[in-house]
Amino acid sequence: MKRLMLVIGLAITACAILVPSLASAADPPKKLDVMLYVDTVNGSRPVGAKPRPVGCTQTNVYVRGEQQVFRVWGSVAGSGDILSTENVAYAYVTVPGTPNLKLNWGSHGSATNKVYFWTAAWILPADYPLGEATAKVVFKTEDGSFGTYEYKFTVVPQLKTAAKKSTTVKSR
Amino acid sequence: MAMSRINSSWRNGRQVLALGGAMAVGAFALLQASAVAAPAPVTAPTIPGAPALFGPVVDAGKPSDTMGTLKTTPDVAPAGTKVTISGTGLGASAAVSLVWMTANVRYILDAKPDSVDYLGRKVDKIGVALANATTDASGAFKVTFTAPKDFGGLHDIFAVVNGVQVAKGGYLLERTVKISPTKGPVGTPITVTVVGMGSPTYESVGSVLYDNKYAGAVSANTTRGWTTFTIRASGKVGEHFISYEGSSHTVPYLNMEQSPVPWTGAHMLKFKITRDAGAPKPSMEWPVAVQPTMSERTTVLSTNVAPSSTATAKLDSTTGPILSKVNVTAAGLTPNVPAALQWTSVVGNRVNCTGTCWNFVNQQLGSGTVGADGTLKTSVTIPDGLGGWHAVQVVQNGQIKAQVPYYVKRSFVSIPKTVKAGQPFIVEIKGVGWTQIDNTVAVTYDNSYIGYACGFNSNGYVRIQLTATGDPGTHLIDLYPLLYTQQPAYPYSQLGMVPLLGFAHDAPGLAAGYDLPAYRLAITVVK
Repeated sequence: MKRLMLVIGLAITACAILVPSLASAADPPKKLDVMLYVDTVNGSRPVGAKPRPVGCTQTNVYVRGEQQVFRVWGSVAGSGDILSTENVAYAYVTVPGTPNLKLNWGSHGSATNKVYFWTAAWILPADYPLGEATAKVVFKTEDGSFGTYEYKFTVVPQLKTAAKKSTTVKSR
Repeated sequence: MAMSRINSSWRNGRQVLALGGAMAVGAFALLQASAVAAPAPVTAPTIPGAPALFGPVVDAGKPSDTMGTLKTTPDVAPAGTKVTISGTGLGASAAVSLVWMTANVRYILDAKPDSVDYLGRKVDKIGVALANATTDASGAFKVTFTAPKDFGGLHDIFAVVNGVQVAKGGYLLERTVKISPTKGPVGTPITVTVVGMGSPTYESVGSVLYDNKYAGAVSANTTRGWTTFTIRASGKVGEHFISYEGSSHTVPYLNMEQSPVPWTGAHMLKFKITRDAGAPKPSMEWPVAVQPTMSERTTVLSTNVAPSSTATAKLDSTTGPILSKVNVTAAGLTPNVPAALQWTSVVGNRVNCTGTCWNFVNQQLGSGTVGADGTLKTSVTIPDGLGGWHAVQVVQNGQIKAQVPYYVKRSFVSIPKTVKAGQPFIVEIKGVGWTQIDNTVAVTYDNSYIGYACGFNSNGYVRIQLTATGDPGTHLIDLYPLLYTQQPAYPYSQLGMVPLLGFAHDAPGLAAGYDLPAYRLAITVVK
């Protein structure tokens, strides 16, 4: 729990810094209902790509076929209450070209080091567009508080790994 | 020979001028000239052979909250590939603009009265019109296009409807590397052609390993990812391996496969040396001829000229090596009054530079009496000194009446033909300059970068002592342009302090008229 609180503390700090930069000069100041921390890790069960040597490591670059897992921690701005199934009406992630991903609340980690947070996982299709994509995390609480977070990640192709001896292309 | 000297200390990036010597005219000019522009991206010159931007720059629109995806086939391929892109669910009969995201890249230079500093690159992201389409009744479209000759790497492609990005696709423009020829004797010039260098920092530099020896760095910033350059075949008879490596700043990034830009990984090429036909004669390889885009030149600013002057001056040649003879014609001067011709330059160095680092100097080239018609015709000899941009100034009544820029080109002096293994030998060149663009040359021995040599403190004359090593036979010494990114140093200035192998087509100095060659030299090592 100590670790969770530390993460949330960092998340709140990050959000506090980030939010002003997202607003354009013309936008009026917005009231923050919900503080969110978002990251993603490579899932340990990719379908169309080789598993990475170390699973569940933070990254924002994904090879097609890999599993991307969104992880979210949050709190209600006014009360400081942790966002959980106790107070969240719905939570999901939008990814371009994909049905919304439902965020699930649950515990993770070893038996002696359980941490609760929200997760949503998906497999990047083999033909998913290359380049930068923007996911949007959406939370709404039972009392009507609302929060979103835009998360950018990069999709790269699977590349051959052998060097070519010819005088033309190929990555090694 | 009369000479005026103005002490100009260079402290904390600001000039402090103090007048010394007999002629005040120089100091007046320099004080005015200190009001120059701040560091800025420089418009890239038109480089022969480089692709132009393939279409008009357009507004890429704003992202939709319900962004869809496009299907691009293939989506990993080189420039010139036929590509099909399609989308669905975009609404019936919608006019779709397909926008290809890319960038323009420019170098950042700081032209000062007494130098030019190199500060790196400026990347501006842009959207370019790729194709147009109209969706059918089901909201679908499909079009084909040819992958443009553009920077390599990932390109987002947006389907824009009424100013909104309704769907996105992507294309990875692969890098290709080719060499020609693939075999020949020692010293054979090997032309390496690269298409698809990227615009982001970690995709914008390539570096060359020759048999695992670092030869130098390559860029294609102002050539839209395309470049061609030459190295020479070195080593024993047999196969040799040239690896074109991904890089971020100067040297290879050896595990690019684990980086976020794995497509910039190495390209391995092979060259076969057939025989040792003896040491090739010394030669110089010059960059392509371009029209500079910067109007400012080192120590040559129009503000140096007396504001009231309407005089003009012309040279019959505005570039050449030291000791060139140049005819000068001036008009609009005060009739029947003596006039002097003077040369502008600097003296100093950048070594351990914390106080006074270099001074402006003027050197009198000649004089004469202006005719009754206000004209002056004479000839001058370009001094044996620093290379780079100088000016020939016409001085009358203590004022600079007119001036003409003159560029002193680098020149070759000597290298021995034969050297015993283990013995020292000397390479001499002249006309090396003093700015961060042209004060130094990078030296490779058999395609291995071994160090640099500076010509500022030695007034343009560079004498490099090397040691003959290797088996008996031909060994190659190449001197390349180098960007001196020290004193002062700036953050993120890529490509500094290493051989610029791609100097002939992409280099910061081209925009400012710096015509910097590579020296192709060789010795025969004997027992």
